[in-house]
Amino acid sequence: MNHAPDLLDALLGQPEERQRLITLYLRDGMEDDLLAAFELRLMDDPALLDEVELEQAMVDSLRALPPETVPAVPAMPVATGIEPMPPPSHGRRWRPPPLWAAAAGLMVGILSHALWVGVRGDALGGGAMPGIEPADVFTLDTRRGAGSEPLRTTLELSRGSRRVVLQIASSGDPGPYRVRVIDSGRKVEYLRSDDLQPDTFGLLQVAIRADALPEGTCVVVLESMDGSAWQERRADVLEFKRRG
Amino acid sequence: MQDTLHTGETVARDLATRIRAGDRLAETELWQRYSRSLVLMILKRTRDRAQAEDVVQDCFRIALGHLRSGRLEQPGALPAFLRGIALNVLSTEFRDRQRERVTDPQGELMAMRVDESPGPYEIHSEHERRTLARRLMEQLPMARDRELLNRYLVGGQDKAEICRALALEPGQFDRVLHRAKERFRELFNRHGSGA
Repeated sequence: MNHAPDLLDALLGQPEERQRLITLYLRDGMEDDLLAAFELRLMDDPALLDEVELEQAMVDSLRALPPETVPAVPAMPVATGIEPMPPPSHGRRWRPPPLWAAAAGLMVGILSHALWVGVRGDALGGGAMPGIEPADVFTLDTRRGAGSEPLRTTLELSRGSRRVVLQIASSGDPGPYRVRVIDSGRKVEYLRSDDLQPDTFGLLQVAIRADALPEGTCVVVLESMDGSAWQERRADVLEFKRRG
Repeated sequence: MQDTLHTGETVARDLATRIRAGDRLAETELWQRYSRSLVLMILKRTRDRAQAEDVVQDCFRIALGHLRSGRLEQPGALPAFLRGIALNVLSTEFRDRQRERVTDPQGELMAMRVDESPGPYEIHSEHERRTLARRLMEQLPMARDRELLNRYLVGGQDKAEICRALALEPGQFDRVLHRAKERFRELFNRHGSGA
């Protein structure tokens, strides 16, 4: 039995939890049961819908400000340019802060799924706290399969962008998948992310630090495990351009 | 809170019944009641408003077909039914990269578009967003408050982390966030009214 709606009911009645849930929703941090319950509530609760839209509008508006006009937040140093995003099915990309963990603990007998609070930075780099780091997200056109002529795409990075997230449609194979970013001579590997699983929409995501991207073109290779070997499913030639 | 749910279920059942009976006004009410939230849900997944609106249009086209022929077994579950269709449409679109819009020979959806109005916090241009954000920042006199907002909303840091970094009590954090939201709401309302 799905108890997420009951739990949601209880939590939305508490201002602090209500705020936490809204933020969690906007940061894509909800597990499927809670996400469904929350979105169904949005459909029947105009006040909640207003609050969510308001917060989304604030986020979008603040993001529209040039970086120099907002207070600086020290970014955490990142040790390597290779930053694969973990597959969503493996503990997702969220971690529970203490308060939420306590609340979730109270509900553990009711709800079998853990409820996690997310930090967007984790989604874009894993591990510690990347902090405030603007990112560009690109979805690659993926209707072509293996053997197709690689398509050269130019992607323009936003000014101040620190990370690049690539969304790549899976090839429909059972997986797991691997994504590699390599130079056009296929000698240097800038990123390798193994054991990826597609999300609900069949997309795989990897992130890489913008300053770790090569000058000129590189190749993004999608592979899936076939038996015990990786098989190339597609390759894209990308050229990243930096603004300014 | 439960009242909201029960009222919602009653409204959903009523709408489904009326649509099945051929009440065209109920179809418009269906759109007015659920389209905003559906667009928000899809927009959150696509980050593309035009695509989100197209997905929701397709969702309603499919849903109306089912509702008119009485194929919804549990009318009270209408919101879940609509959400499921919208997510399926989106999923299919992702897979197929279907760029051709579904035709609408009866012009029914075009009629619905007439009733379509933006949500209260829909801001169209980058310029408008920047203006609002600047005004919001100007109205937060303390640098600490501005930093809190930026860390929380843009940086995605969690509350505990921000409280530690800025030496704030959780209650202070809540107050700053609440004030900022109220100011943003006021700014938006003034902006929307052209003031």
